[in-house]
Amino acid sequence: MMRCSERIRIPEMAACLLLVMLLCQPSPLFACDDKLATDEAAHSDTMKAKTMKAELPKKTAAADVSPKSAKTKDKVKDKSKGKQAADAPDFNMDVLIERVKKTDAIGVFSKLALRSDALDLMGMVKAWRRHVKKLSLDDVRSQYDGLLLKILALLNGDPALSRDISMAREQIWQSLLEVKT
Amino acid sequence: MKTMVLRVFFGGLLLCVLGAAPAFAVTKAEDIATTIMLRGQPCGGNAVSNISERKDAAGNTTITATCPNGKRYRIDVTNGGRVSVTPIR
Repeated sequence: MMRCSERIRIPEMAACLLLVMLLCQPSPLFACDDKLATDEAAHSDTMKAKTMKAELPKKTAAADVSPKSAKTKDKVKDKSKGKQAADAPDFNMDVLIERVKKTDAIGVFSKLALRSDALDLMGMVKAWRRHVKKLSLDDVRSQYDGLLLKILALLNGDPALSRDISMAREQIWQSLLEVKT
Repeated sequence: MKTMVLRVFFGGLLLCVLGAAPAFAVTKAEDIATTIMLRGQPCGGNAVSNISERKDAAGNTTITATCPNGKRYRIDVTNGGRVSVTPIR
């Protein structure tokens, strides 16, 4: 006969099993906590080691990126975006690019397709700067927003990287306009 | 009772650890389907089938695959890394 102390209490057992199931559920948040921690550690290390390449001079950012004949509307927008970029936390473009290259959330061919889109965007920026086509800054910006949307949609499996990219949205935009090649 | 609870807890934990799989590894079929959709073509699902891949001497890769909607696509990857998707009729 079973002693009182050895009897299994059903509610306690159920609660315990529920706890185990909750702990072990393969949710994206649970799976990526470790990755997030390691990513943040790596990110902070590299941030200490490297200097801020893409940091903008707060006052002259808007004036530097707009060509001479650009509309005043664009300039006003640039100024407000420059302020937003200054308010956002520091970021390093090279680190973000490396993290996108290394993430498992996006496959190889998708990364290549995104790279093609990024190169097209760079071409658009060049064309806008040289006035080759009748492109406005808004056209380039909408292209950039579309590309960023694609990247963020594909980064469901890497929420830390997705968050960092969306936080650095304006800074990436500013550094894209600064590229002079 | 405590012993029983602990046994169940650690047993469950062990099962979870053993059963855990890499959650976000993208398969090749999913990757190709995503690429097709990224280039603006309809695919009708998140994984393709009947994948065939061949490389030429210049380093260009050509992949053909069938989407869940029945459409067949050719994906060309140049040696420079440019990707283009063309529907096959």
